Amino acid sequence: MRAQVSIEVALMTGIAILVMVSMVNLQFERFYSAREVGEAGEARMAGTLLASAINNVYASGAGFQVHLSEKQINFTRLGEAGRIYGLGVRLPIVIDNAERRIIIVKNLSKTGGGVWNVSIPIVPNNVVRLDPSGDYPEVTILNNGTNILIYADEAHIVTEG
Amino acid sequence: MSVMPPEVRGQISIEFLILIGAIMVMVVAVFPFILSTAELSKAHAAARDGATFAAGMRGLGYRGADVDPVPEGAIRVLRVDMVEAGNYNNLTWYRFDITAHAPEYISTNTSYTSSICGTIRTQVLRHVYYAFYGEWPSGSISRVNTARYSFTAGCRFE
Repeated sequence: MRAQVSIEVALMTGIAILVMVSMVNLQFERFYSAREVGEAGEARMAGTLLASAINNVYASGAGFQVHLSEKQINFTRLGEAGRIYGLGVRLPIVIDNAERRIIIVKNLSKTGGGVWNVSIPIVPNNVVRLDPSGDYPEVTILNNGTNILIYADEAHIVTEG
Repeated sequence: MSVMPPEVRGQISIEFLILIGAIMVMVVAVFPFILSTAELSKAHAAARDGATFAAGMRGLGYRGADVDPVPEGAIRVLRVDMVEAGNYNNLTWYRFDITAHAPEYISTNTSYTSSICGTIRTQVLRHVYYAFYGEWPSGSISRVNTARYSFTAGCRFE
């Protein structure tokens, strides 16, 4: 009679396994959803930071420059797809001069949302992208008196309009 | 320590057999009810997920390609009620009534609220569809039909 597993334990274990299996799908879906909304929020914060830097440089006049280091805007992290199944942000980030907006596009197809975008208004309409250099590392924003120059890789930021 | 004779060992008592039999009868009797309740619970949980996802994303300022822009703000889902709305093609029709809350500069503008409500309704039904069919529907949907139920969604701000 010793070392016997009772029939009740076997039944309960079976029922517990059934319940857990039925919940796994729902819980994973919630996890993905939370992950995607978190990434979307992170991307929006990066866009807001970029917009405020552009506006500050524009308002401060010729010669003023701001450098946003990788700690402030990390494009690798923003665009990384597959990070715990998130789809990341679709790079490059677009600065639309005609609309005076920064446009960030996020693919939410994994959580049923399709491709969504958020636009953050900026003041100047003369933002020009240039390749980063030793003197102006990515992302440096400079007011040269004529235009607002943004030194960033073409794969990370582009300007339109 | 008493030693049982060999013919008595390893026997299941008659009480236990009766108990198992009674449990099986009860489980079989309530099984259809359990299935239909589980289906409704699954749909309700998926609807809540869809509503909070839509509210969160629109609150951050995100929108689909052909959706009107709405200023960002804290959009919250207050309630997701499941209301029986009659029958639809021999299916029991349930409507998800979603009540949301937003700052006054959003909630007092009907074009903003209708845009957000459109997103919420769509995402609620898309999540319900995914819960039952395991894939996202292509395009926008206005109703999800399952084996027993038909689901639609309504939305309002308060």
